[in-house]
Amino acid sequence: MKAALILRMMRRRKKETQMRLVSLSALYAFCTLLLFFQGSFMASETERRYETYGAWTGAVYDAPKDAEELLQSNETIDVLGHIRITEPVENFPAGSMDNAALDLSRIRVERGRLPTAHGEFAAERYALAALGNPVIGETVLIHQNGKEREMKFCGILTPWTQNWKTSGPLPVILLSETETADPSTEILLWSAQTQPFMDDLYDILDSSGGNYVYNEFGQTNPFQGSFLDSYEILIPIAVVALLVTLYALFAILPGLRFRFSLLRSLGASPWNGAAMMALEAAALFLASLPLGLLGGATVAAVSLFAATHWLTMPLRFSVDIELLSSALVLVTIMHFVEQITAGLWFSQTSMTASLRRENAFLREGTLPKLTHIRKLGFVGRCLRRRSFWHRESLLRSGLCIVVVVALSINFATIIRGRNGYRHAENSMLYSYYLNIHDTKNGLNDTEINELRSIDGIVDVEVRSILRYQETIGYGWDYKPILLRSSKFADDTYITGLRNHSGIKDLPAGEDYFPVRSIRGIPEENEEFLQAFTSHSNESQFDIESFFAGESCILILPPYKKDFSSLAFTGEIGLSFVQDENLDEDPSSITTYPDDENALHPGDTLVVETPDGKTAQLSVASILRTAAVVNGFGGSAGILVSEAFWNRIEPDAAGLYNDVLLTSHRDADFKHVDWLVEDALQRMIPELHDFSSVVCQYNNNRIGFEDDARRELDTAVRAGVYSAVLLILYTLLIIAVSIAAAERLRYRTGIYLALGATRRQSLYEAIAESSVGVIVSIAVGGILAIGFFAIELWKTYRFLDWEGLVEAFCGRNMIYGSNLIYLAAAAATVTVVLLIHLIVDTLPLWKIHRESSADLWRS
Amino acid sequence: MATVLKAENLHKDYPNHGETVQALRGVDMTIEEGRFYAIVGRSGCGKSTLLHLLGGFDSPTSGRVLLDDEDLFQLSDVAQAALRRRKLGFVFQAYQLLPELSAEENVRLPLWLDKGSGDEQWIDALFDQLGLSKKRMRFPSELSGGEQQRVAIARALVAKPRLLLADEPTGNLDRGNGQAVMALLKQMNVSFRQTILLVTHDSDAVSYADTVLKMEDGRITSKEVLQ
Repeated sequence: MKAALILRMMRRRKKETQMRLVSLSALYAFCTLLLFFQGSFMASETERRYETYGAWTGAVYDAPKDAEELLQSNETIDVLGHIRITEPVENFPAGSMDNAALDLSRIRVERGRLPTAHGEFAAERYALAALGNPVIGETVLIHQNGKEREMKFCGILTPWTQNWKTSGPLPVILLSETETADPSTEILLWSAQTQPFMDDLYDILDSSGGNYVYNEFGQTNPFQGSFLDSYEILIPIAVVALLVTLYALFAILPGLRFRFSLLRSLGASPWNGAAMMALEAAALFLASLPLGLLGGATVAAVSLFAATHWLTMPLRFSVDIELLSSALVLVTIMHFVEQITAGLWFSQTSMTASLRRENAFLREGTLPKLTHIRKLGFVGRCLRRRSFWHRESLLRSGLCIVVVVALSINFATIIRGRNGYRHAENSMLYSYYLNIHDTKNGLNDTEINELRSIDGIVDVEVRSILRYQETIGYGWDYKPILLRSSKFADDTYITGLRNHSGIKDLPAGEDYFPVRSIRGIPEENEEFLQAFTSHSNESQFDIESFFAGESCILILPPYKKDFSSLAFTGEIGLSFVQDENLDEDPSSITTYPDDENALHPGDTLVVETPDGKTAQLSVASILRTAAVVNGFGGSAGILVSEAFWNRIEPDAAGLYNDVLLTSHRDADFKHVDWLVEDALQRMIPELHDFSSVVCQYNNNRIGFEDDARRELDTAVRAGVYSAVLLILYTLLIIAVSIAAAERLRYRTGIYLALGATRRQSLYEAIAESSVGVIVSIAVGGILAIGFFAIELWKTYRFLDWEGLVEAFCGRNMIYGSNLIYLAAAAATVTVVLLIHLIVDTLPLWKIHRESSADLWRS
Repeated sequence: MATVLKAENLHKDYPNHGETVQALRGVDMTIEEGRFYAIVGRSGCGKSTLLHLLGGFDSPTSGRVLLDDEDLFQLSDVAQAALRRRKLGFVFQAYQLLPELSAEENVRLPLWLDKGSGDEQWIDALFDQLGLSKKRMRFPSELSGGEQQRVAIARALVAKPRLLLADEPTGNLDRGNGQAVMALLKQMNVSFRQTILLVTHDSDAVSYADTVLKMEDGRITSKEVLQ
């Protein structure tokens, strides 16, 4: 057969060709959209992380020439700089650095300028203190290399940032270039926005015997080995491609079957069929690919543009060409294989069976009585219809219920994963913990916002504290600390005390003693878990030797599981601390050992809540504190449940006492400290009693990286699965609706023939469909709410009604899990309703235009 | 007269809910060139099954069909298809026209499948004879049932087949259109010595045939030569 004829036939089979064209274009668009989203997300995230954490940086001491050349030729390296170290000045490392290295070293000139001429120097505060705190412009007598000389002080530098902590000797006194013409050490610094491939460099450095240090600072790569960063992301595309091509095939089967049978009866060979399908597939491919690519990229660009402008999220427009081309090839292959297989398959089918015309539908149909339409009530009428309970309607309702539940769970997972990612990521940053001891003062919302605007602060979290009317033992500030999971609400049920004013009695049992996770150690490390849990007392367990000195933080229950007087567990930020008291048999601990005002389980104490009320807490268990619980520079005195904590609001004046600041990558903590102190003194001149602690979580970065990657993957996977689910659902609903539309056409035709108005028949159809969808969404919603209720119960099971109301409506929700579920439910209902609205309404408008005879003859 | 087609001891069994239905139980028949045959019988007696086997649409459980001395079922798929294109024409009860092709394109379809352009004079003659000259560019949906069946007949005859097989060609037509179609078939038989094998249970249609084969229970039970 001529190609032109095949193409002409395709063109004339308008509906079928359009459907195939649309489905294939949509498939290409889906690939393009998904991969543009993925690429854009990764590009934006990489950029954001660069802004937050800074670049990958490295320092190479006495770098050989070829190493420098290699670095220069490495495309991933953005900046290179040199530091030259001379003999120490006043025992401080001294030297000079070029402008690039100055940026890389994150040295800031606080006052004055950098040295430019012979005999000038700039220094940071520690060095200046040793030199007698000279003022700028003053000439100072200094010792260098055993000699005394006079130098002019020209600038104050900021202290070294934390990234140099593990580096070798870096200058704290800067000299001019002319002073370091013959340096004793030369250090090469580099910086890259994305992680460079360093193996080549290491090979050269190793072979040259150079003394190098690779100092990596601030960057993490949560994508490495992630679902996002691998070809694994093509799996959902393959699944969708399979679904779409199968759907397209099944949708064209009746026409295809007839056409092929007829052609074969006229003498077409099997190969004619395959060739015909191949040609059709090629034509479809050529038409669909640009459409899909353009459409997908356009939608991605518009979405990203809208997100950037409306949600104020800076999103880049980017795609990984390799991934995109792989996806397009995958889809194209699938399309061709499917079409040619269909061609071969139908060429082999029986001609006689295919040519037999069947219309089971007409045989099955019965004429409804018009009187029934008018007699029954609206919903009842729909429900009593035979058609309502027909298999298509039931199938559609069943699908609707399933998808509502699945989507709700998925959407909640997306939000939770995204928040978990941010949370874990923030844990990798440095924190600045501000505690206001002054009971008369605190920070209000305006002041909090001012702190938030300080350069170098990326996040501010506020808390209020309980105040005690009794001294209860040792521990930092004698105040309760909410120890939280690095994950989310369902992982945090930390309880140390039970509260009689709103929190139910804690159920006893082993619920409180699972080993949740072990930081730095993969959870699958069965060897460790087995070794650990087999010990009745972990103090006998030689943890250090087990980890062979590897840095890690252990998250573990402090005592063996059957020690019922202790009641806290979970990921509570425990770190292993050497403590001789661990040798003590934990079962013997019933009081705080060193406290004259010791508490016992069952004792009560009264606390003042920030809103000025009092709450009575009952001691549920005694904790080993200082040795085991690692708070900020000390330990928690009291642990309260998160449920209780969530009920604590700022005091009556709306003031907060605890502020947790998370710093920016470039932030120098001392600099931040100064800025915060300055801001506080400006805002609250009478505030004097506060303390601040800088916390660096970076030593546990591997664990948090794992968390971040896991949470991110969870969110993205849930997102992709939702997309796949929606596509599958839409296809199924379209398929069911096509089947239902045939019945509807016939019924509408008969109604019209019997005297019903078009409006009446249309109204009936829409009403019936709407009732079905609403009933299904309601049933799905109830099931989803049931699921969420179980989830929420895990978090809020200790709350009475009053506490529940506060937890849901109070403004001190830290994790906002209730909002997650509400948002998930709203998004699900909206999406499902939209799908139904579109899919159900389209065929109705077509039916509405057709004549009665055409309709019932179908 | 030369033999166009010969069927020998044709059997066809169908599985049906665990049982075997014997649709044909040993059919022997010879189709001679230039004659007009009609196979008659009650519904379910095996008429259509026989026609499908003779056209090579289906394969027999046993027996053979010789078309110009070639065993239809010994041929490869490709050879069988070629034979169907060149030597057989088929007219269906439900016309079976491709809706996306015009009347003329439908008629030319077997020629295109055979990668040939055909005899233009013959095509024009066909359209003239069938009264479709003014409707060559119409699509099936724009034609009446009778016209569609005439297009189907033209399509079956366009490659000048040795044998035209027609399965209830008047089944979907009213009496007037049915008679017109049968008259056309008869005209083709007379004018062009076209061999025709017709399956029908329409007594009017039977009257156009010169040989009537009666089928009962999967067998040909009688042969009556009318003219």
